Amino acid sequence: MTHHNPLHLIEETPFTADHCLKCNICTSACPVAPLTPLFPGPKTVGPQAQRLREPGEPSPDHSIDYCSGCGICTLVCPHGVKVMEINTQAKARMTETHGMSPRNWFLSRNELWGRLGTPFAPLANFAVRNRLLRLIVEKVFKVSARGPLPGWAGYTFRGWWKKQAKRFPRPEPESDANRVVYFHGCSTNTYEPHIGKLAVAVLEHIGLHVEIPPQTCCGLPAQSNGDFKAARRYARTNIDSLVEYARRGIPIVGTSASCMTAIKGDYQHVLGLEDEDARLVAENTYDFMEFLDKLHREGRLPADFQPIERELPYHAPCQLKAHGMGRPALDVLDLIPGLHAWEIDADCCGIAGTYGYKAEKRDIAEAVGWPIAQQVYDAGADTVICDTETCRWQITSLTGAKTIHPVELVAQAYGLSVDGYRPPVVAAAPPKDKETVPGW
Amino acid sequence: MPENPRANIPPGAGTDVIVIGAGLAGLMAAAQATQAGARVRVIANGWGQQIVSPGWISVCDRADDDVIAEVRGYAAIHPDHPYALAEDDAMVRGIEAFRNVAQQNGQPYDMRDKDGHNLRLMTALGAIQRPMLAPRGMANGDLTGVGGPVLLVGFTGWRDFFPALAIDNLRAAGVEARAVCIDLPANPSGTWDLWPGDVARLFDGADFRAAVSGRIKPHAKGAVKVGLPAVLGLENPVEALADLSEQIGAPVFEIPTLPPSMAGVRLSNALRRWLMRHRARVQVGHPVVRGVVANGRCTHVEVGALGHTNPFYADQFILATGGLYNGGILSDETGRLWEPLFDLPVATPPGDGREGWYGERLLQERGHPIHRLAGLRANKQMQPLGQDGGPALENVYAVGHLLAGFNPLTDGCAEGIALATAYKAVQTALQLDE
Repeated sequence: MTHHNPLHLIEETPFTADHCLKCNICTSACPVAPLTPLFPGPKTVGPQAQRLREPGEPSPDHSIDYCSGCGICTLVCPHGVKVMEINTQAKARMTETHGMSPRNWFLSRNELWGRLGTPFAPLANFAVRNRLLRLIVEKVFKVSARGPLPGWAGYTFRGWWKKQAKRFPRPEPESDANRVVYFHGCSTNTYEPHIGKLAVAVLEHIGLHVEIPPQTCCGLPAQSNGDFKAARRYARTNIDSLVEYARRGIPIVGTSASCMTAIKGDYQHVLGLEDEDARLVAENTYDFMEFLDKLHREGRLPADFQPIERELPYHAPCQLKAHGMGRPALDVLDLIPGLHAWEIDADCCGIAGTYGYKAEKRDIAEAVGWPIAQQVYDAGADTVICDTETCRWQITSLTGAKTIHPVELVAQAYGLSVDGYRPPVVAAAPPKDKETVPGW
Repeated sequence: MPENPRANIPPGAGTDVIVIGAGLAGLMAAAQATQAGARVRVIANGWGQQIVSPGWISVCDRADDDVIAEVRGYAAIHPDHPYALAEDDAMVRGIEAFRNVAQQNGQPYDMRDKDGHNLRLMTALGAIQRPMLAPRGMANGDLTGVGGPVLLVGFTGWRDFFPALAIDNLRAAGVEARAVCIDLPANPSGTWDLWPGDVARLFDGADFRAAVSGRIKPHAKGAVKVGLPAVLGLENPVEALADLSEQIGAPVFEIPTLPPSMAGVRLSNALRRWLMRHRARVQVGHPVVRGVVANGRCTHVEVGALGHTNPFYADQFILATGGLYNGGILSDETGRLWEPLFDLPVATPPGDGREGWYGERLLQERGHPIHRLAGLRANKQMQPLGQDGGPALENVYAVGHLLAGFNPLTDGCAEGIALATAYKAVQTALQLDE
């Protein structure tokens, strides 16, 4: 957003602290501060402590480690203080000064573990589901035994796509207007490939030619653990790979709302990559549901939705709220006849990326997410819709409910299925496919 | 929900109404439009002024007897005042609508229903303020006809409220008072200062309340009322208040203290939940940067978001962006004033630029003229006026502090105007019959 403002300098993250009136609106909205005496709240560790953070000086306090980075503080501030961004930068200074724990390094490298675990999926899945092993890991590594780790699919989305593209080559479109780039993220690549497959099926149903260029982790896990060096490396790899498409005006869409937050905003406002390429990529990047909503407004979204007679709760992840795009998932799901998706009133599910996996923070993460569980229980819902993977895993671990990405419902309503996959919400209903993508 | 005659935006393409701003006026406009069956989207840069205000509703603070009659009389001779524009029905109905929505959401606001006079409520320094209605906890502290003794209770070591500071002012106002500080039963934070929300959450716990009551009770003998800082519960203030009053054996009331105001936080949370449950969209955190206009109508607004701006379409637009102190009206050093979203006309005050507003004059007793000028002029439909004196845009309305014609600092009517104009704007935007 910085490029809209002629007063560029005072909009830069560290300087926004000067807009702080100390009104404490951020403290009253922070989901973490009321739950632990270890975190004094966003105003205290953010704009207040910022005055004591001199370049080259050590970080003034360590309580900032208990900030989950959910960013609710930045959203509620009426004066434009980038509280979460200030805090994340301060965390990075701490990591720079004191180094990184092996645990945090481990949690920052999910891209690596995703790839390494894939060939050994059965063994890896056994390990993450084995209670005893998890307890040992908690003792030794401080990764909470209750943290909801995903399972490996045993193959990668990219591998699948490569084969698909080879077996069923898609014709090249006449113009770039019908092209779209899909950013799958690490989770879709190795843990939940079905989301990527459904996303591609929906995009192709719309009539778009999907491109999936090389990409790596968005960098958010490394960033939130203070490893800016690694985060910038990841960011640069993605920017370099995507910028060609951005220059041609080809939209880049992704099904992980958190990865999209990083590409659209954090690369610039947190990691400080303020160059033209980063800006171009950010400008052309869309959350998947935001993109569908946009197509709908432009009259380009097919309206052949079959009814789904369900009432389902929806959680907007904290990192999705940071986009400033409203709730496109709800707007799009409203188009499906019979479907009533309603938004849970909760700031954050608590997991906040990697925060909720840390043994010393697991209790806080569960307490932050508790309002979600309450509302899901009260509604008697067995399925919850949510746009980000770690939030889905957290909500499932808190509620026992199944969790799905909104694209699963869109695909279902279009009658699309891949590999016979059906979202749990309609798995029980009789199949009424009217279309199967050729060769799928 | 009733069918709404203006619900002509196809689903998914936009909403019936977009409200810009999440202050009192914006939230109430959104609530009333939602009640009327419209699909509503609230877009706000951050939470509004209710979180840094005491939390009571000033309608006409200077009224000595019937408040509504005073407002009607005032409006009759000040045709440009927002009360006169909204017309008196709007004020009465706006207040009624607010009390209903707040009550429905567990936030009862009380007033002197039997005589319609203003309340007499104390500030943290013991000065008397005279709002018309207030959250139940504060309204319990009405000092009309109360000679005392009133017991004021603070918490030892808590920096946000010193009861002893209020004693002399209260006595000067004819209210006998005494002060006591008690130790809080628990300070879970240990090392940090407690902010009002921390204490309010403690008061959500029944055991904590019982322990506090036990410590206050010995001091409360003979007291006609017992005042505590306005931190008595966050989730269920009504229950907290009733519990404490019963356990202490005297009516307990809340005294507003330093921001954030728990009354404002409770109200904002409750209205947000209510709106979301009724399928309104509430998106706080990114500002509207521009309104886009075609053929005399606003088609959509653009939100400054991550990466790119995002357009939001609607049939009707209600501007509740606040005034000079809230970002709805901007100024530069030359003293030029402007409305940033639609560039609607704002009078530029004569004189020597912004410097001339300051000094002794800004907060002078009768009010600096800048405060009456710095806003949008509107017609009786709450449509802001263009250069030619007609409505600037067919489907855009202005409410609350954004309006010119009153001084929010000295007139003692800011919240009343928010409620009256929000009511009127929704009525005209949705063409609702009275």
